[in-house]
Amino acid sequence: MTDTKRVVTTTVEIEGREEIAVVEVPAFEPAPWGKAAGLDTVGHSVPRLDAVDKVTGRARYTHDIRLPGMLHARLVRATVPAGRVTKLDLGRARVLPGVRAVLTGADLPRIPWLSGEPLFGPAVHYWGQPVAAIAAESEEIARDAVRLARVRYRVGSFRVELPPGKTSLRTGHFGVTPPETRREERGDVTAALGRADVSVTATYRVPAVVHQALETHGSVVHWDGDRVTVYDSTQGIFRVRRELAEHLGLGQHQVRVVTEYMGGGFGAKNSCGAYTVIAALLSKATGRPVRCVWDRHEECVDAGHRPETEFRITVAARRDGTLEALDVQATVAMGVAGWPGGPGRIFQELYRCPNVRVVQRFWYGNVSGMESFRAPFHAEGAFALESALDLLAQKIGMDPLDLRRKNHSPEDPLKQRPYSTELLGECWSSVAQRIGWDAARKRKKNAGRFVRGVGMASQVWGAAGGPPAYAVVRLNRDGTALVQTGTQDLGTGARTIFAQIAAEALGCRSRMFASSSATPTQARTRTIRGAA
Amino acid sequence: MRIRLTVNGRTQTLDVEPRTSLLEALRDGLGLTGVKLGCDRGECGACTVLARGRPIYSCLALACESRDVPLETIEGLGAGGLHPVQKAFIATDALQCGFCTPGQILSAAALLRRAPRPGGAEIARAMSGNLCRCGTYPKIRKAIRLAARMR
Repeated sequence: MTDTKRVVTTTVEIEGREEIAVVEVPAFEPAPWGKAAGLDTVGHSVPRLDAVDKVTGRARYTHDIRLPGMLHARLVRATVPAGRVTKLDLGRARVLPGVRAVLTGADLPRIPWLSGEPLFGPAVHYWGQPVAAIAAESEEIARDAVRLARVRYRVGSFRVELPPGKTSLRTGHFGVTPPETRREERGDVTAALGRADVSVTATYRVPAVVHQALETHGSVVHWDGDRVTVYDSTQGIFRVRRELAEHLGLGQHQVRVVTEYMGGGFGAKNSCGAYTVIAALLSKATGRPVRCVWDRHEECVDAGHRPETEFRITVAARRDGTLEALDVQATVAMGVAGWPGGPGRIFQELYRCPNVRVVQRFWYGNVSGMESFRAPFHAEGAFALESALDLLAQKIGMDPLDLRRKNHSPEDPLKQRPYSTELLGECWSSVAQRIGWDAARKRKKNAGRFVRGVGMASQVWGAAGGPPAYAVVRLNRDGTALVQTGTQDLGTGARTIFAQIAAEALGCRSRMFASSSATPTQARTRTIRGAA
Repeated sequence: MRIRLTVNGRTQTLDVEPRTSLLEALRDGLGLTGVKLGCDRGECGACTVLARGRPIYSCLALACESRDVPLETIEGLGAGGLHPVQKAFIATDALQCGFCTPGQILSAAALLRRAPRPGGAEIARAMSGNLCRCGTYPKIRKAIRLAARMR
């Protein structure tokens, strides 16, 4: 045995964003369980460990955190879509009985927020952008105080929707150049288009879509001495810790982020929100815990969304339906912030097609920044690709399911290697059988200008896995075990899944479950990628 | 103003403002956080409580108008052991994140009290005021049918 640990630096890609990660290479790694492993627990249906907490209302979400002396924060938000704050008068708000602290750009350290511009800076780039914050003894008093704020703006020009096709994308908001256009091509699309038997071209526009988790974004933060405890409705406690520590100039060891239960995220709760930073600074200013939770309206205007995207797509094929080429241009309206993940990948990944060209353009507009949304970029990409394939099927008179089967790829066409498990073909057959595909296709109903029928579309998505991903299992003298991971259970069952894995590995069952159901899911020193 | 609320069979006195919603009084005044605030505008149903046995949106009711109304929250429903609807939600895994679950369960329990064997359309109508963003609707319907058989 040696104490030397092997460590590698690697690039981890999550939803189109790449991060550098330092990963320990385990000295001992158990072999994966194969199909023949005869598992007792994993893969078996068991009741969720947290089901009783959830059906009795005992599950405590971030919204439910009540700390002694807790204050409530509300935000003054921009009421213009673009421009500049010329006057901010919080005098009347400040003296309202029950108001304990007011936070403006002048009170803040410079915290880079939108494309490097500071939080609470004078430049406004979207309607609803945070301008100032107020903490009070109750949420109602804080709301009253916000109504007393007097803000004047110089209104600037703005655009919230994608500009018409040929407009330059560089003239978006505040002169910041959007991410570079990405061009990817395999094979020779131009040549393939020239020789194909048949082709269809279509334009699709997918609107911006808001996540609307029932539990809105929010944090309760207690800044106590040199320690900051954050109760956050988040999908990424470690990312929140890292980003909050950076924003506040603290060490990560000083920040603890707790998410016991969270009421939906759907991708929009991956990072440290303005509410967390604001609650932390107001807590520091008052010495009391501060709750800052978006209301439903704020959730609509300042909590991220699936970006509006426009597709121009040409599909070319042989007469028998074999795909020859996909030629795609996608333009993504990110809002004021986003990242060039882009919807290009699904066109290269979902079907076997030798020639694929994808041009992805990115545009900044005057709405809040986009966020990941349930298979980010792929959902909108799938809509365009699958709609175009239906057009192709119609044009060549082929059953849409047969067309998909014809182009099914048992291998990953992008990485050109086999999937560990690939069940798309089986999935199609199973669905077709269950809905009675052939008969259902014939039962098309015309009702005025609407036609009712059935269709089928597919999707491919790679869930973000490790590394790095760790769990700590502690064995107790009484034969129970404690499983600690730094993931959150979004409702996907992570608590139960990890308990099942631990029980399987340790060779015991029922008692494991009882103990791990009481396990806090935050291990402050470890990270893990959870259940998607 | 000082009011008395009767919740889960217990009468308690608390101080509220005239504008305080029943939801706020239950959550902040009485610490019954099983009642959730989702939309605060009577659309999502996360704040559902039973008033005289009927489901209402507590975000749209004022605390002061709820005096003299027997109220029931999720905390009261399973106080003497899990209610059949709660058991059925667990058995059919009719939940994911769980945030809407207390409201769903109360609406379902109220339905089964007035219609012990509800049909599909009746279930759909009774549950139409409760949204689930995780999309567990088919399992919720299954849970209600199971609970009806359990009673």
